Amino acid sequence: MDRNNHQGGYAEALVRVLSAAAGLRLAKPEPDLDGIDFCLWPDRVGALRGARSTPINVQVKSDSVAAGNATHWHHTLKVPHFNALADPETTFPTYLFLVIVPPEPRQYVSTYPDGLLLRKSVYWHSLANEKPVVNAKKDAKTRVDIPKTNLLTVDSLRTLVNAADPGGEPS
Amino acid sequence: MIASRTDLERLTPGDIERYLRTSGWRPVGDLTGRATIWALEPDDLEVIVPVSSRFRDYPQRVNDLIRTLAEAESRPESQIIHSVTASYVDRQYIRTFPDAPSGMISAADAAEAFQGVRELLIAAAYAEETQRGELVLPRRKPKIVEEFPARTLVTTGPGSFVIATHIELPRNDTLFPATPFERRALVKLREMLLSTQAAAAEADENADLSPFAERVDEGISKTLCRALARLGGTDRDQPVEMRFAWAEDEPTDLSTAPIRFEAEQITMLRHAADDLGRKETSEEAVLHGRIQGLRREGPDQPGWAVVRGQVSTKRGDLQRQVWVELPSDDYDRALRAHGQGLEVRAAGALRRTGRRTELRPVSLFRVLPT
Repeated sequence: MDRNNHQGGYAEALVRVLSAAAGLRLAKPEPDLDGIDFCLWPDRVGALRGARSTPINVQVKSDSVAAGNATHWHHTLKVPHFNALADPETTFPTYLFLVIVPPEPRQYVSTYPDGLLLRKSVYWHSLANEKPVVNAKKDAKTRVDIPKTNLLTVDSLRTLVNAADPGGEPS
Repeated sequence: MIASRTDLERLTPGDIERYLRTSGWRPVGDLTGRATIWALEPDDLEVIVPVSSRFRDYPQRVNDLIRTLAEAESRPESQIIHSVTASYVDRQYIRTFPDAPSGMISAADAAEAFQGVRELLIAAAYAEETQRGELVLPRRKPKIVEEFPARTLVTTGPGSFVIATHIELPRNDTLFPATPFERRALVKLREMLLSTQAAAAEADENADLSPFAERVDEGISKTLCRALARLGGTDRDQPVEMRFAWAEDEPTDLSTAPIRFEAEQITMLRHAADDLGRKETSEEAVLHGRIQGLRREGPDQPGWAVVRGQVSTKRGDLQRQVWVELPSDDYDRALRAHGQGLEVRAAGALRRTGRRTELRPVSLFRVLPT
C-alpha cells in the first residue's frame, strides 16, 4: 500500500476504535463533499436513541514525524483545510483529530496475549475560534498548535460529543 | 447516482421544507437553532434541514437528507432532487406487492399494473370532467379524459414495486388562477379511492356488492374497480397502497396519508369489476373454502352460509365469497364446521346476480376432515 494511504487508513481506524469503545454511532459521509471524515453521535436512550441530537463533524489528520514543544503539537494544514475547520458557520460543530503515528508502519500495532497496543495517540482540537486566513497564496500552508492536554480518550470523546448537544438526554 | 456538490447546493432550505411539507413530513423540533428536524410517520424516519445554505457542511447534510428521502419514497436520488426543484408536479405513489424481489415484478403482473394505472387515471379524469356517476363508462370519452394518461409520466422503484406517476400542472400566472384540471382530477381520484376503500371493506364484510352500487355517485365505476383489482396482480390477491404528494406551488390541505386496500378487498374489487350491474347468470360449479358466517331466520328453516374460497367452473377458477343456500340439517353441519374452522366443499348452480354470488340449489355439501 502507498505510504500515505497506509498512514491515513490506520489513523482513521484508530478514531473508529475510540468511537466504538466510547459507544458512539459513527457515519462516514460518502461521497466526500466537504472534507469531513466522520460524523459521531451519542447513542442515547429512548425510541430514537439520540437520532435527534447534534453530532460532531470530524476531520482526521495524521503525522508520523511529530513536531511540537512541551505543551503543543505543531501540525501544518493547507490554508483551505484550515479555513474549513475555522469556519463557525456549520450545521454541526467540526473538530480536527490529529493522530500521531510511528514513523514505521510495522510499529503501528503490537499484539500481546492480553491486549493490542495501537500506537500512538489521537489529539482533538477545535478551530472554531480561529480567524480564517485571507489572501493566502496558492498552496500556502499554516500551522496549528494542538494542546497536548487534548488527548482523545473514551471519556474525552464522549464529553466532546455530548457537549455538541447540551440539551440532549444523557447517554 | 452520486449527487454533485452543485446539485446539492442548488436546493435551498425553503425548497426542501416545501417539498417535505407536501410529502407528509412534519416539523418536530430543532437542533441548537442550526437545523430543523422533520419526521415522517408512521415510518419513524427523520431528516434534518440546515437553516442556512451558507453552512459549510450544507451539501453533506442535504446529501444525507436526499438519501433518506430516496429510501422513504423508494425512488432514485436523482429523481428526488428533480422533484424537490420541480415544484409544479403532482405525484402519486402506487405501491404493489408482487411475488418478486423488491423493485422487480413479473412481466404478467407488470402488464396488469400499468394497465391498472391507465384505467385509474381515465376513471378519475372522466368523473371530474363529466361530474357524473356512471357504473359503466362509455367507450367514447371526452378528449381531455383520453389524453390524461398520455400526459402522465411514470417511473418505477423498489419497495416492493412502486409505480410513481408524475403529472405536471400547467403554470398559470393570472391574478386569481383557477385550480387546474390535472389537480382537480387527482383530488377526485383521492375521493374516489377513499369511497372505494369504504365500499370494499363493507362489501367484504357482507359478501355483497351493494356498497359499490350505492356509491356510483361518488365516482365508483366498474373501470375503477377493475383498475384497482389489476394492481393486485394477475391473481388479484395482493394488497395495494397509494399515496399522493401534491405540487408545492399549488398548496392544498389534503392529507398525504397512504390509502391501503387489503388483499381481501382487492379480491372483492375484482368481484365488483366482473359482476356489478350484470344480468343474472347460472352455471354448474364446485366451491371449496372456509365458512365466514351463517344466517337463517329460524331453527327449522333453510339458511345461508358465506364461504370464502375457490370456485371452479368449466371456464376456470376464481376466488370469491359465495352465499351457499343450505337445508336445515346441512346448516347444522355447517355451524359445527364453522366452529371448528373446518373446510367445506359444495357443488350446485352458481348464480351471479350482480349483487352477490350464490350457490343455489346445492347438490352436494360436505365438511372436509382436517
